[in-house]
Amino acid sequence: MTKLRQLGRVLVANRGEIAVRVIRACRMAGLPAVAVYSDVDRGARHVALADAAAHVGPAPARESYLSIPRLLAAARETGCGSVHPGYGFLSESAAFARAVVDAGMIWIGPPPEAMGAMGSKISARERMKAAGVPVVPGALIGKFEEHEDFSANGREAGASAAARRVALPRPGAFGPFKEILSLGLPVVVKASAGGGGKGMRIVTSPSDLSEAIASCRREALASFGDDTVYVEKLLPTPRHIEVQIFGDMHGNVIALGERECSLQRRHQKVIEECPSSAVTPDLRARLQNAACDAARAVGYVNAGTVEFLLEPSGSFYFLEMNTRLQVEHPVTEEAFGVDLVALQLRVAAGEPLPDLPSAPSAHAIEARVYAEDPDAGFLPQAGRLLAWIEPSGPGVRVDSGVTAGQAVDIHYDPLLAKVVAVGRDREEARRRLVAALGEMVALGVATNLSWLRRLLEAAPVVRGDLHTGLVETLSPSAPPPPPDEVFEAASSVLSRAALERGGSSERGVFSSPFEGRFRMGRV
Amino acid sequence: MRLRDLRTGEEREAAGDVPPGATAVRDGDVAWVWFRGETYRLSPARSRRAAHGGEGTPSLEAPMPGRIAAVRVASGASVSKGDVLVVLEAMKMEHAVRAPKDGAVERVLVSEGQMVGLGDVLVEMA
Repeated sequence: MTKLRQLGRVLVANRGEIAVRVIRACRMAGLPAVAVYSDVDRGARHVALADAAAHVGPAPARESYLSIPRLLAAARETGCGSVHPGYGFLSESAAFARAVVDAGMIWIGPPPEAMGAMGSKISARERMKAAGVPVVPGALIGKFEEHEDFSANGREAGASAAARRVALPRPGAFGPFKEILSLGLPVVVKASAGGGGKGMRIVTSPSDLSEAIASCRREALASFGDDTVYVEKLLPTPRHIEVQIFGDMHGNVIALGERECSLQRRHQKVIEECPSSAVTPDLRARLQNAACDAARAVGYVNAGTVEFLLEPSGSFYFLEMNTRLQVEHPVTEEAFGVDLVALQLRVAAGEPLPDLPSAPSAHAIEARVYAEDPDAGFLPQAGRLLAWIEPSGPGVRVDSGVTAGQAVDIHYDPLLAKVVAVGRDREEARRRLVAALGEMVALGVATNLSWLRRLLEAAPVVRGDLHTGLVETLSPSAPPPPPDEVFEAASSVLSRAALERGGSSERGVFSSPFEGRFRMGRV
Repeated sequence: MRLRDLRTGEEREAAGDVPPGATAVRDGDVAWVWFRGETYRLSPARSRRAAHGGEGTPSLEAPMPGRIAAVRVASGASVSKGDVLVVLEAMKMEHAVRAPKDGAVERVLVSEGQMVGLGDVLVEMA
C-alpha cells in the first residue's frame, strides 16, 4: 500500500526538539529512527526516544552535528536507508544531501540542485529578480568566488572557509561601500548561507558598517561554515510573511497558506502564527502563486518555505527561500490539520501529494521558549534544568527536546521548547497560549517564559497589529515583585540545605545537591 | 534568613516552609522559585553573588558563558565609551562587550578562543 518502507531506517541528523519531532513522525509511520548524539547529548531526550543511537563526536557542532563524514559513518554503521536533516545544522547543505544520495540513501528533503539554487541567499535573490518576483534593494560586499561554489564548499569544509576569512574591509576602501551607503541607511547585513536570523546586523551609522560586516562574517562562519555576507535596505515597518510550499516527484507544487512571524527579538522569530491577520484571501492567493512560481523555477520537491516582507501598502518582496522544514511548521500543521513531517516522509519515498486543505480551518500561534535572559538583552543562558513541567489542555501542543535534570549546553541553539495553541479564531488561540505559558515550569536556567506571556498581552499583539520592529518598541510591563510566599519558599530550600549539612557552615553550606553542577568554561 | 531577590534587588527576612502552590529548588546558593506562573531567583542577602544587573557597576565581566571570539583592545589602550573591547560568542550568537565610559584599559585578562564562565572578568579599566 505504501512506498514508505523504501526509506528503511531513518537517520535523524539533528538534536533537540526537532530530532524528537522527526523521530515521532517516523514512529507514527512505522519506520525505525536512529538518533545521533555528541558527547554532551548522551542523556538527551531525542536519544532516549529513538530506536537506536550513534555517537558522532565531541560537543562542538563542527566536529559532530556538522560533520558530514561522521554522520554518514553513523548512517552506514546503523544500516540506515534514509536521512532526515531537521532544520539548522546541515539541513540546507547541498553537499550533505549529495553525499547522502551518493552513498545510496534517500535524502528526506529537496533535490541538492534546488538546495544549491536557493542555498545562497545571493543567488536566490538574483533568480527571483529574473523571474519577476520583487526583491528588497541590496548590494553585495567584497569580491568573492562564484557564490554557489563558495557556499557548497564552505559548508563542506569549515576549516578551509576559515582559512579564506578575509581581512576587515575599511569604509571607502572599495566600491561596494559606496553602493551600500547609496541604498540609504539603515541597512541590514546578512549571511548569504544564513537562516534563523543568525549573523544579522542592523547598521544605522556608516562608522558601524565595518564592525557589523566583520561580526556577521564570524557568526556566519560559526553557524554555517560560510562567511559570505550581503546587505539589504531595511524596510521601516514590514511584516514577515512566509508561505509553506510542498512539491512532490510527480510535478505537483502546492502552497499551504502563510505564517506570520513578525514578532522577533535579535532578528529571530519568537512568536509565529497561521494564518496572518494581515493577509486577505486575495493577497494569500498572490503570495501563494509567487511562492509556487519560485519553487517550480528550481524544480522543488518536498517541504520548503518562501519568505516575504509585506509592507503596510500591501506590496511584498521576496526575502529568501528556506529549503527545509521550518522551526515554526507546527502552526501550519495545527491550522490546516496536516502532519508536514509525515508528508515529507511520503514524498521522499516517491508518493504523490494527497489532497490537502486549501485554506486553514483554525488559528494557531506558537511561542518559542528559549534559555535566555530577557532582562540581560536576551543573552543565551546555560545550566541544568532542575525542574521542568510542560503545559497541556485543550488546543495546547508542546514540541520540546528537554527533560528535568538535563544540562542546557552553550554549544547549541538555546531553544528549549515550542508551545503551540490552536483555537477557532486568533483570540481563542492567543488566550490558550497565554494560559499554557503560565502553567509551564522551568527552573535552573533563566527562560523567556514570563516575557513571552507579557508580549502576548501587549495591546498591538492582541490586535494583531504587527511588524518586525514591534518587539523593540514595546516596553512590556515588568514581572511582579516577589510576594511573601516566594521568600518563604526560598528560605525553606536554602535553610533545609544548611540543616542537611549538620551546621558545618564553614564552607559549602549552600552547595548543590546535584553532583558536578554544570559550570561553563570547564566543559 | 535574610534573602535577596536577584532581579529587583529587594531584600527581606523570611522563614517557613514551601507554601502551597509554590515549586522551589536550590542550585548552590540560589533558590529558584515558581509561583503563580512567574519564576524568581533568590539568594542569601550576604551572598557574594552580585544581584543580576544591579548597582549599575560598569560590567566588564562576561555577561554569559561562552568563548572569546575576538579581543579588540590591548592593555594600556585608551578607549571611548561604546567602543567594542571584547566579542563573546555562545550558542552561535555574538555579544559585544563595550567600554562603559571613556578611559584607559588597565588589563586584558582573556585571549581569543578562551572559554569563560558567567561573571569572569574580561577587561579591567582604569
